[in-house]
Amino acid sequence: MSNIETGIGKMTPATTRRKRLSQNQVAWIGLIVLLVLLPTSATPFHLDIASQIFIAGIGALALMVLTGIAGQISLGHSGLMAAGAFTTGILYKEAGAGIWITLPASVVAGAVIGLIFGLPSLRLRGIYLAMSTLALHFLVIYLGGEYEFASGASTGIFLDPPVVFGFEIYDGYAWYYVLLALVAGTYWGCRNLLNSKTGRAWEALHANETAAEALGVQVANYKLLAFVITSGIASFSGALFAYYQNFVSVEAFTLFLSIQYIAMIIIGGMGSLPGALLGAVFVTLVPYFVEWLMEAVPYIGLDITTVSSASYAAFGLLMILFLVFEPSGLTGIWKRLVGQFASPSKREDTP
Amino acid sequence: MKIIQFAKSLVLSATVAAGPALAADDEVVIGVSAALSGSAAGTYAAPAEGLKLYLHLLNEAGGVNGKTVSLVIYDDQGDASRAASNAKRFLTQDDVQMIISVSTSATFAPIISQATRGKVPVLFAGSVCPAETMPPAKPLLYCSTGFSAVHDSIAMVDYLRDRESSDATVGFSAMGIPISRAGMEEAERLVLKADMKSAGVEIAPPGTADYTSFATKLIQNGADSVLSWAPWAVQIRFVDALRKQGWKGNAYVGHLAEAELEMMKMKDPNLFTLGTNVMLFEDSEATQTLVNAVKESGSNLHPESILDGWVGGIVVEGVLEQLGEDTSAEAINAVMSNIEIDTKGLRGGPIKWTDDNHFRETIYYRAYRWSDEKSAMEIARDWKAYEVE
Repeated sequence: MSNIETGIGKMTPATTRRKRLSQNQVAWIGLIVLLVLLPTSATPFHLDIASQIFIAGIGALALMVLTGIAGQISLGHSGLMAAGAFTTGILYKEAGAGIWITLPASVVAGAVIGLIFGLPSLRLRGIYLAMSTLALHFLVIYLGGEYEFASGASTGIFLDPPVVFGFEIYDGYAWYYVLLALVAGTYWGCRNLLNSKTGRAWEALHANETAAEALGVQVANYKLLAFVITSGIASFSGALFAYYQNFVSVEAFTLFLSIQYIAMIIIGGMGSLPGALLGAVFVTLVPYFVEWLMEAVPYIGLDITTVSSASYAAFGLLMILFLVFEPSGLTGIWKRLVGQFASPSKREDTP
Repeated sequence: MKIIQFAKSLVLSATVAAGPALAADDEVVIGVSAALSGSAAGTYAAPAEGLKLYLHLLNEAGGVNGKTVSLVIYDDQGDASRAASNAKRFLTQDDVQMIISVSTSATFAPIISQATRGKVPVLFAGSVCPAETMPPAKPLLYCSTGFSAVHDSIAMVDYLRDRESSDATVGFSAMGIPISRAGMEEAERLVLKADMKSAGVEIAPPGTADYTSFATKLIQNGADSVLSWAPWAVQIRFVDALRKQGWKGNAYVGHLAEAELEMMKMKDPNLFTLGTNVMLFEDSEATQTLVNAVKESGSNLHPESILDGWVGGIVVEGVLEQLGEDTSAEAINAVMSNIEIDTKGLRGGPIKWTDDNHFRETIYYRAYRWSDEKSAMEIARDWKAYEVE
């Protein structure tokens, strides 16, 4: 018997939704307060890890939209980040450009590369598309390497900390809040995009391209749009990486980095924006967690080389475990936990 | 036996890797960022252990002038982001007075960037020497490692000219990373300058599994001999690919940590290594000290693989010997910028740093190869000194 039929003493669906929305808002406010206050009790090391997570989060959001939402496979994510980092590094080194020029230029460079490398997606799917995006990675890395070699920057391009409104962003606290704001802004932008006509079109073509086309979705345009927008965001995160770490080098953008980003969206949960962020947190923290675990257990902590190798192996093992036992990722676990702790009436409402 | 090794390791961990928690006024805290895991660990984990072992023995012997060393070791997996994080941790959390890098060139930029900002000296001991340590050297950056892309290339071309005919065609193989390419491009330039011919520089991207196509191209271009400067595995896979196609020319490769053991397995008399470290088959007092120390530590590592880290330990000892009461990073840097360190027979001569040369004023190279007659490794050419300009 539905709540509407029983009426008195039960909440109507409308009030339930209002309450749930209110709970969501409370949860978000709580999270924001926690994140804003976190630096007050964090060491510089913790702030550094948080900042790394925020940069990874921006990159993971881009890949989640492209792969998890629009269904376009990419192995060129690291190359796109490199494109952003090198655009920033080269403009800084050659023209002394400031952050207000380098960041937009990096986004534009990424978007243009995304447009070019999105073109194969109009004819290719699955593993074939993955291979064409892999070519993007190698091309960008090759060009970056050529620049480093030709300019004599064999160790990499060094950047000074960016200056924004006369304020130098170098301190860990400053970076924390800047990157927190940027990842929040990127999340908000992606969320709005997914709630728009564009987002619905991406979901439709992810589900079934032929059906989407039959429904009037211009598949080619929306595929290219997905590549352009997400490549711009990925490139943006690469530029932030360059500024945050104060250097650019091809050796920082390996193919393994692309794999790590794919791991983030798989572990986080395909198709979920919060999942991208959870995946970024998880993948960034795993090596530190394993290190901590090894140090905490004296016997295991005997040999530092073994400790470190274990950390490396743990990453691969976790990927396999998630793929086999939890394909919906951390988001799936979270939903199940919420379902477990929710009241029976709420559980009935849970889809 | 395992229990004894376990106990020894515990003692070693407690005395050397204790970290800043035990740091006192008479302790110098040194941060070590090393590729202890990941694809580069085969080359860098052992030198890191060598550094740790040398400094453990130094501490056990009472340190230098009452000063002991506390090492804080973090793994960077040869990854730039991890190295950046480690460097920040050293400076903001561990308050180190010196940083030592035993890792890939990918990690140099973040470490240099952070250390320069924090005004803490960096010693590359086991990592390839970055260009920033060469004259005119950048402040705070020093290198004691036995190999350097450009200088190794100079020595290799010089030795090649001694052995090959003056009209020989020389092929070059590099890995697609800037430092390896820089070495081989320089070698090609020197070969052409000597009126020899070049079969081209073949650059294999990182992660290449099969070097056949690169080797084929050099053979097709008529290479009589081949020079290679890259991570050891890349150099040797390249030589393997050449030999599998029946190529019988001389191959000259950089002498890295794995060289002695691998060459003894390969038994290839036409494969030469040029390097600045001794091989341990020589059985001198210096090599015996090292071999015995490794044995007594219970480590499973091969002594030759730890040599560059061991020399790094000798450098730290040399710096401490000259350090006064002030053990700040600034004071350590002042000592390092003008010092001569005796390498105790493990190299051809001392390591001497000056204000604008943080690599070494004179570098000594020796060539080794496998001898079929002796069925053992042999010195193909003894130490030759090169001035570093």
